[in-house]
Amino acid sequence: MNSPRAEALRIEHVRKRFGSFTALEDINLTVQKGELVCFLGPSGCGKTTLLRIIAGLETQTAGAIIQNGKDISRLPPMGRDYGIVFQSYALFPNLTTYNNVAYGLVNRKSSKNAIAARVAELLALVGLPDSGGKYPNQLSGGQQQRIALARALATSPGLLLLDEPLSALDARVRVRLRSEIRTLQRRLGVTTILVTHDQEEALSIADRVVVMNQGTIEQVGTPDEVYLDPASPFVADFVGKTNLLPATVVDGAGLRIGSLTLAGVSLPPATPSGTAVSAFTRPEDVIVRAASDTLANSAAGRIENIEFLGAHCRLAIRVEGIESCLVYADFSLRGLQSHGLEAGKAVRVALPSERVRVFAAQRAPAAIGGAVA
Amino acid sequence: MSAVLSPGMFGTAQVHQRVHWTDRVGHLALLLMGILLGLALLAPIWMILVKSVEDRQGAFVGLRYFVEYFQTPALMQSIWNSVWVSGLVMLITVPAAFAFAYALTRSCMPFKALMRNIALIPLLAPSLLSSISFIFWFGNQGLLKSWLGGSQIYGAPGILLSLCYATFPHALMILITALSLTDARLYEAADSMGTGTLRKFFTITLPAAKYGLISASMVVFTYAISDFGVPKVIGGNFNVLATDIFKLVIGQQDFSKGAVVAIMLLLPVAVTYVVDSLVQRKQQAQLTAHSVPYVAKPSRGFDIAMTAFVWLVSLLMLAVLGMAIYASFIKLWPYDFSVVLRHYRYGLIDSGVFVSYLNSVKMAFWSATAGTVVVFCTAYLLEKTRGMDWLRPIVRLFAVLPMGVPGLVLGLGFILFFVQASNPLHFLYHTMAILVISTVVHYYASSHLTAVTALKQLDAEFEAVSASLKVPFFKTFIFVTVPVCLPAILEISRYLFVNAMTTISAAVFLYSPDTTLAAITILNLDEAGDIGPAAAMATLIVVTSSVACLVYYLLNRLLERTTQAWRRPAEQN
Repeated sequence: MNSPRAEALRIEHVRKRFGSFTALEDINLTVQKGELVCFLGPSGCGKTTLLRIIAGLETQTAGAIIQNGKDISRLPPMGRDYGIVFQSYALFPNLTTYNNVAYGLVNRKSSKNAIAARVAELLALVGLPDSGGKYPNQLSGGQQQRIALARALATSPGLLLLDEPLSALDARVRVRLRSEIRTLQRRLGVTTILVTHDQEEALSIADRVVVMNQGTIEQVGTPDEVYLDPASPFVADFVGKTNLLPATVVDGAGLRIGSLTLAGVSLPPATPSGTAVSAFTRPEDVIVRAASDTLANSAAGRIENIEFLGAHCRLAIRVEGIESCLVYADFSLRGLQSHGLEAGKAVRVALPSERVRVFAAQRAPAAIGGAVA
Repeated sequence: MSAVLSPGMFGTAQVHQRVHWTDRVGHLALLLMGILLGLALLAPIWMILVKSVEDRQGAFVGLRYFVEYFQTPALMQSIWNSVWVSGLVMLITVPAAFAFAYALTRSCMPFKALMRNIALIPLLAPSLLSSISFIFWFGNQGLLKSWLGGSQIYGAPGILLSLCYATFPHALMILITALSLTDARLYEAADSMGTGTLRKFFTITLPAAKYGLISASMVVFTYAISDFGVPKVIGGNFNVLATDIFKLVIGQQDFSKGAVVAIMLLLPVAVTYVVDSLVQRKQQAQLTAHSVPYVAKPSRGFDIAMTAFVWLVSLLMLAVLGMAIYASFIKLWPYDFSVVLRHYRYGLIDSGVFVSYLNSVKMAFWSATAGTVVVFCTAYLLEKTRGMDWLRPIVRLFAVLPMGVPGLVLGLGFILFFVQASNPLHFLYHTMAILVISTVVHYYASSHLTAVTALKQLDAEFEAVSASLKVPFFKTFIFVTVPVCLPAILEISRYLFVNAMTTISAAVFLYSPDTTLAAITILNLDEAGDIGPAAAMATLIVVTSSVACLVYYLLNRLLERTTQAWRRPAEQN
C-alpha cells in the first residue's frame, strides 16, 4: 500500500516441537516497521507459541528470528527488545498504577523526574491520566489492560507483542479498546503483533492478518484479501461464514453446482473437466428470490429455516441438486420482507460466479481444518 | 498444504537459548538448594541403609542383622504392636474427626470457630503432653484410676488414648478441607429430584470426601506408627517400633540393629506416603472455579445432635490439656493439692533444665526464620524461574519426600551421617544448627506445599513481564512476589515455629548436653519420675506455641490492614 518500509522482524523456517507434537512447522514471515500484524487462528494453532518464541519465552526447535537485521534467535528474553501485554494483564497487584508503569523505567536508572514525566505521559496516552495512585484491583478490566499497555510501552520498545489482550474483557469494552489500541499504535508507529482467535478483531485492526492452522501459516494478507480472496478452504471457513458446496469442473472453465452451471469461475491450475472440487461462497453473496420472481441461472430451493441474528437474518435453504448440504444466505430484515421470503417458502437461488472460489474437493460437510496431514 | 514432516530439512540441531546472567544466578541457587536438600535427606537415609548391612567395625555383613531381627520374638512383637495400635488409632480418630468436620461444615451449630480452635489445641503441644495428662487422670495415682477397673493405663490403652488426642487435629484439618470442597449445586440438583438425606450423604458427601478420608487415614496412621514420645512416656512395657529404635541406639548403642528397625518403620510409612500422594493427585480437579460453596441450612434435631457431639469432643480435649496445666501447679500429687509454682521454680529453673526451654525457643526461632527463607526461595526458584529443567523434578521430589520419612528415622540418619569424623560437615554434629536443619527438613513438605500453593495463585506471567522490561527476576521476587505472598510466608513460619517447639522424634538423637530441647527435657524428667516438672515444661511449651500463634495472627491482621488497598478485590466491576 504505502511506500516500501524497512523490515522490523523476520521469521525464518521456525519450527517448534513439544516431544512428538509439532506446534509450528516451517514458519516464514516478515513484519514491516510500524505494521500491525495479527496472528489469527483457532486455539492450538500455534499462534501464541509463535509469539512466545518471538519474545524468547519459548525456544524454537529450529529456525531463526531476526529483529532489525540482528539475529536474536538465541537471545534470552532479557536480551531482546519488546514490550508484552498478556491476556491476564499480569499487573503487579501490590504496586500502584504509577509503579507498575514505572517498573521498567526504574531499572534504567533514569532520574526521578524523568520517570515521573514519562509515566504521566503514558497514563495520558492510554486515557487514564489520574489513575497513578490506584492499585490494579481498583480498576476495571479494560482500565487494567490499558495500564498493562502503558507499562509495555514505557521503555519505548521496538516491538509490541499483544497476546490475546482483549479476550478477558466483555464485548462492549473489547470493541472500544481495540479501536483505541489501533489508534495508539498508528500514533506511536510501533511495530505490533497481536495474537487473537477473534476474526472480527483481526479484520478490524490489522494491517495484515496471518491466518494460522495446525502449526502452519495458511495465508498472509490484508484483511480484505483474507476475507475476499481466501487462499485455502480453511481460511475461507475460519474467517467469516462460508457455504461449502460440492461441485464439478465442466468444459474446462465452467463449474457445475447441482443444477447450476457457472461460467467464468477462476479455477485452480490443472483441474480438467470432470474433477470434483469444492466451491466456496459467502452467505451475503448468495442471491435468493421468491419462486415467482425470475432469476437468471438459478436453481429451485426451499427455505428450511430463518435464523434471526439482529442486524440481519440467515436463511438456510435446501437447493435442488445439492441436497447433501444447506445453502446459507444473509438478508437484512427489510430485504426479507420486500422479497416476500419466509420459512417453508419455495425460492430460486443464484450464485454470482465472480464471488465463487474453487478449491480441491473437501470432505463434506465443511470440516474446519479438514486438510489434515 | 503439505504438513508432511521432513526432519532432515532444517538440520537436526536443537536451537538453544543463551542464558542471561540473571537466569544463571537462579540456576546456581536452585542447584545449591537441590544439593542441600539432597544432602540433608538422601545422605542420612543412605547412611541407614549402609549401617543396616555393616557391623560395628564397619565390615559388610549382608542381611545378618535383618535375619537376627526376624529371629528375635520381642522385636517381631513390636512390629505387630505398632501396626495394630496405629490401625486402631486410625479407626477411632478418622470417623470422630469426620463427624467433627461434618458438624463444622454442614450444620448450623454455634461457636464453630471456637470449637475448631479447641480441636486444634493438640497441635500446640508435644504429643506426649497427652500421655502425661492421662497419667494424671488414670495413672497409678490418677484421679479417675477407679474408672479403669483393675486394668492399667500404661501400655496399649494409654498409647491409644494419647495418640487419638494427638492425631485428631491432623485428621480434622484434612477432612474440613475435603468437606468444604463439595459443590452446593450437586445438593440442589439432588433436592430437585427429591433425594433423601441418607442417599445424599452416601452419593454426594462421601464420594466427594473419599480422598480426604483416605488421606486423613494415611496421615493418622503414619503419625501414630512413628510417634516416639507417647509410647516412651505411657507405653510401660508395651514395645513398639519407635521405642525399639531408641532403646537399640541410645540404650545399647547398637546402630546397625537400630538401622534395621528404622527400615522396618520406613516401610509402612513409605507405603502410606505413596498411597497418599496418588490420592492427592486425584483430588486436584474436584472443585472448579465455578463451583458454588455449600451453605448449611438450619435443621433442629441434626444441629442439636452435632452440637452435643462437638461439645463432648471439645470438652475431652480441654480436659486433657487442662489436666496437664493443672497438675503443673499442684504441690505434691496426689497428697497435697495446693496450687503453687514450685514445679516451675524448683523443678525447672533451680534444677537447671530451664535452659532447654530457651534452647527450644532459639531453635524454633531459627527454624521459623532461616527455614522459611529456604522453603520459600526454593519453592519460588522451582515454580517461577526458567531453565535447568532436568533438575526441577528432582528438587520437587526432595521437597515432598520428607513427608514419607518418620522423624525418628531422619534423626538416626542424621546422627549416622554427621557423627563420622571424616565427614567435612562433621562440625555440625552436636550443634544447634543440626537441630534446626533436621527440623526444617522434617517439616519441609507441608511448608513447601503451602509456598507452592501461594505461588501458583500468582499470575504466571510476572516473570515474563519483568524480563521484557529488563528487570532481573530477583528484583521482581523481592518487590512483588514476597509482598504478595506474605500471608503464606507467615503461615510457613508459624508452622515451623510451633513444630520446632513441640518436636521430639528427630531431635532425640541429635541434641547435645548444651542443646537439650524443652520437649526432650519432658522425656527426661518423666524418666526420672519428676512428672510435676514435666507437666510444667509441657505447659510452658503450650503457652509459648499459643503466644506464637497469637503473634502471627496479629501480624497477619496488621498486614491485612496495611495492604487491604490492593489485596481486597474492588466491589465494582
